Amino acid sequence: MTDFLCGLSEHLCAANEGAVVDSVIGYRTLTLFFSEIITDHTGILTAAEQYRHEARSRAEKSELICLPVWYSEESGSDLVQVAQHCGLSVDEVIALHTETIYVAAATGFAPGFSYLGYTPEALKMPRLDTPRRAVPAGSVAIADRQTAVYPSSSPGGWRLIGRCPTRLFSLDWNPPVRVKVGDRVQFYPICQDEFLALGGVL
Amino acid sequence: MNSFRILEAGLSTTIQDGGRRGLLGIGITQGGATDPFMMALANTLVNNPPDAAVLELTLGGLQLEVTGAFSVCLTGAACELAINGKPVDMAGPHHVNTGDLVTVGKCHQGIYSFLAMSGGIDTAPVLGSRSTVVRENLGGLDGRRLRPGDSLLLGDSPGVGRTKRTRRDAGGAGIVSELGSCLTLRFIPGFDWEECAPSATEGLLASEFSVSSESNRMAIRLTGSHLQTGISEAWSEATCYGCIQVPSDGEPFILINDRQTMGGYPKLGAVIATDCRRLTQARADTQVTFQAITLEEAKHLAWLETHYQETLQQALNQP
Repeated sequence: MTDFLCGLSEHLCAANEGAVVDSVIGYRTLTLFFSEIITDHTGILTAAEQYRHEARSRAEKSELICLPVWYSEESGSDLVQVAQHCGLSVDEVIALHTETIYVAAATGFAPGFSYLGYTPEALKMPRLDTPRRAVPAGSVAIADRQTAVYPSSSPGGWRLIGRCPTRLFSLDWNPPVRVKVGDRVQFYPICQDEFLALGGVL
Repeated sequence: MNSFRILEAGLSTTIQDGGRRGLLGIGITQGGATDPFMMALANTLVNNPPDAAVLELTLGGLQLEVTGAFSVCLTGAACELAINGKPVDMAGPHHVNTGDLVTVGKCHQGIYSFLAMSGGIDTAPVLGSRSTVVRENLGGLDGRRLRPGDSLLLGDSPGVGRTKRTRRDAGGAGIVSELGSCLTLRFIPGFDWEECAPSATEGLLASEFSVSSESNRMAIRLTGSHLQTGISEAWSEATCYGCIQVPSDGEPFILINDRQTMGGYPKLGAVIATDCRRLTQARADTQVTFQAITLEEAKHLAWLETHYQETLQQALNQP
């Protein structure tokens, strides 16, 4: 789905050059923001129909981004509870979380935040009933069948299982985000010393 | 070079301009002045491009000290304005010199006012805009609200604003007018409208809501009726300006400038920009109702609004 939406977005932006101001990919939707003066929704829909019939593959190949995670009770306060809820050991949770290659299905919520799908069925977790007021920056979290890294401290209702020291958003980069929609992401485990050596902050 | 220093910063004063474009896809919100038309008017009256950076005030309350010589113009929410303690007319641009004190006092009508100064506020743009998004610590001055003691530079100005000529034209157009007893929000049904339980769509059209005091630059919160959409599974997708979002407690939010770019709550449609602009200026407890319109009607209303704004700008620009 994400691959199709990425391709459709590229096609519609190219077909309506100068008119499309913003293009936002969600899990199952593509939202275009365009100038009514240059085109209208019928123009966009015609181009979308055309793409659906051609069903070409994307020119741009998605990148595999490997992110280190320090999984522990100290760095991920819900890790033990997640294991208990899923009827797994902590090591099994880590193994399941790291063996999957995720696809960034959407980015947004906060700058640098990517919704990564899908975690294995065995790791499916409900959200917290009451979101935390502040989740530490770098927190790696799961909810439903999604996972994500919180790029900066923010409120959050997902279950925390570890911490990633890698920076995901910087105004010094162009684009300022590390993970784009369609990119593939895989996590690998590190220990506390490696977390600190990679610039992680406790 | 012209500059000014903040002596009193009020409830929440931020630097705003036209906001950011083309960045929603990577999670950077639009931001910008909550009432772009009022900002454009203030800028025009001091000879600036319409989206030059201005101060956005929340419920009035600001004092600044001038260095140099430039023009200032206040539009938007109706506030008391004084120069060196002497009350002056809010509508006209005013020329100020080194040492002058510009004071914005009590706010009588509306919420957001815009103080434009010739040359525009000259902070370093971040991702193409000077707009402040406090939540993301982005833009403006260190990404935060202004505080007493902050000094800000103004950009190069082509000269003094045309004080005498425009004073007569701007008049009431630059001041938020009194709302009637009820504000009608015209909207285009969309997003999850078809999938929504009829009780929720009918409820939206039939209920009277009131503006909550918990509204801010992210969203206007409405209270008064609980809409049960019946939609439990929601996939995160883009939000837009004016989006009617219904969280699980059923009281709708209307998303505005600093909204989060993605949302997972059911959405019933989008309020047209011209009505959304009025809504942002509506005080707590203002009564609002919803009226569904077609895309064609919305386009026509947008055209009329644009035409009105262009005509007014032209009139103000005429020699």
